[in-house]
Amino acid sequence: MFIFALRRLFAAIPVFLVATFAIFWGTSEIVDPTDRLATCQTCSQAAYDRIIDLYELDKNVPLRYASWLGDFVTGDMGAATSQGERPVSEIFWERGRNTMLLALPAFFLLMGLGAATGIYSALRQYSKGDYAITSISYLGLAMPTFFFGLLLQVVFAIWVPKYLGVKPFWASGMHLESPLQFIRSVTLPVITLMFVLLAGDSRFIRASVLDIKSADYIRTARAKGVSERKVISKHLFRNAMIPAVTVWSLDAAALFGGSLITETIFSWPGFGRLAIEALQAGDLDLLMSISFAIIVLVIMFNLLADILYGVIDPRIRYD
Amino acid sequence: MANDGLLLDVSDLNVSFKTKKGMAAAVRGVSLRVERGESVAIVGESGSGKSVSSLALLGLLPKSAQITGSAKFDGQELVGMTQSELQAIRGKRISMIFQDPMTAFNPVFTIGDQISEAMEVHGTAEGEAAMKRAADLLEMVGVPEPGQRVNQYPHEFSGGMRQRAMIAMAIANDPDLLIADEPTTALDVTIQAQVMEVLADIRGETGAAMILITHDLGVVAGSADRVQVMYGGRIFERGTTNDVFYDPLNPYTRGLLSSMPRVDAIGERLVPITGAPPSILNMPPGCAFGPRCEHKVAACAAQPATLELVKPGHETRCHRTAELPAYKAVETIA
Repeated sequence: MFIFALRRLFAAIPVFLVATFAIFWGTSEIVDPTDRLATCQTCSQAAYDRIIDLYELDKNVPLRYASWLGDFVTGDMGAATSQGERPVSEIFWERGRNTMLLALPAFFLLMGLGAATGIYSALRQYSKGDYAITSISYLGLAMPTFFFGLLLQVVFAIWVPKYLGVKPFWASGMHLESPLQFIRSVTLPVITLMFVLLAGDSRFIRASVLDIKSADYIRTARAKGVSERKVISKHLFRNAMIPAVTVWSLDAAALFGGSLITETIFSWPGFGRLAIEALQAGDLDLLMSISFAIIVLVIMFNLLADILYGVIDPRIRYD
Repeated sequence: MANDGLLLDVSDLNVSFKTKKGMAAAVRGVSLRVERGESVAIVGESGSGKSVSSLALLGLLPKSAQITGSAKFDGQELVGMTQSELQAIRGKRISMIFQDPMTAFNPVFTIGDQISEAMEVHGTAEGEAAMKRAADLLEMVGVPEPGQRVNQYPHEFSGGMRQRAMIAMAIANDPDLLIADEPTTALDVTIQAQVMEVLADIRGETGAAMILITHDLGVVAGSADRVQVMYGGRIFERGTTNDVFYDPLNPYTRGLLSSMPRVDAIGERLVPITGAPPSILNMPPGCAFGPRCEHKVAACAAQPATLELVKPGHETRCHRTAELPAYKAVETIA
């Protein structure tokens, strides 16, 4: 298992190189750090030269990439020009933590609710509960995140205060003064983050449980005299976890990398917002570091999923 | 009790399924008596209702199934029993062996876990004692190195070994009745004989009665005391294995026998039964076999025949029993 993990990490190196080069090249084509001086009347030629020099814009893309890579592997992630020249690592800690405040509760709720609604829906196929869950799922799949987020803001920040006279949740900004304020400020963005993913997860888990519940081994368990409750909690659940791990690893990569849309709508100073700020400011070093972080997250969650498959399903063994 | 040798007494069992096109009757008025230690085979094509009737006894059918009639197991009425009452009987007093050993074990638990679970749910053995007994059971059914095999997963077993493990699981609680639903259908011919031998040995040791459900008459010949032939959800003929094989009364049974290859009839052509079995959604009003029968007359299409006793212990369901020619088995070379 350990050897397998190590081998997978080594195999990730070429993936990392190709992905970072592609992103580096792409951003160089669309982002010009000198743009920010174009409208500046008072900026001197010296300021312009400084930017050219900082990003080595007089060299070609492969050379610039090689230079970035050299700095990067020796631990120099550069200073973020768009964030007051603060070191990238320091900004990462701060923004990453803020994203975690949304992503962690969203992820655990997503696993719990996705499994619960999916399994319930499959076991009570064509019941009223199944139809309700299915309808809400389709709504979630069909509704864009930005629309759903705005809808929540309208309902809970405008209509509820106006007609009921209370304001239960913050519709914008991060409030960490007290646990209560924290809950009031994360509720709406967490629901927004979760809703679309939850709809897909619930449908996916429903489909796999439908397969499993009519499997021969489920009938065998019943024929042995195992109680219905234990048939579901032991024989069915363990098998349903195998495909669920796949969707959860995809969810994790999507959530922990930060959400551009949700963080923007709710003015949440997380990782997703950082990416947009860096892009708008033409902050190349910061953009590259963000790309790197997201690549690492995706590779890590895939590896974790592969290891979990082996733990749950004895037919999959790595040696 | 009046008849203390009688283990299972099923009478007038009906099973129908609610479908979009109305009620589909899968089993119609089936009766079945199994004495202690006896082996009864139920033979029929797919869709004849042979598996459904046995699943109905244990309450293993989906909720859309409606079951009427009576099935007394050791004096207890099974039809209408609650799920928890049935759970106490399943795997303890009546065990099932299923057709496909490749899919009948849960892939994520070890064979030992699954066999000992059968004991743990009924409280006959726990923990290490159950594992120890699981290994002993595997040894009984001829699985080599049972001590290691208990810790293996189903995918590490071959088909034949899995079916042996399935039998080991079924006898874990020393049941009075084994229901073997096509136990050899998914196996190689060479393995089939071995598995039937294991079943016979096990029954010799435990004295369990058996209901053997199969479409394979070859399997029946060596391992059943009595045979019931089913078609279209009804019993068409029943009697001792010898009577049914050597003096079949019903045209359907005769058709089945002449469509079966025999080792002692080299060079004979097989005679298939023409046509296909009826759909349970669209049963002929008269005799279910009527449309395919070479002896049919107008009366056959009008109404179904009743099961008649022709001689002691040998019954058939046919309007024309008296008029049928005597059965002539294929010429044997011996």
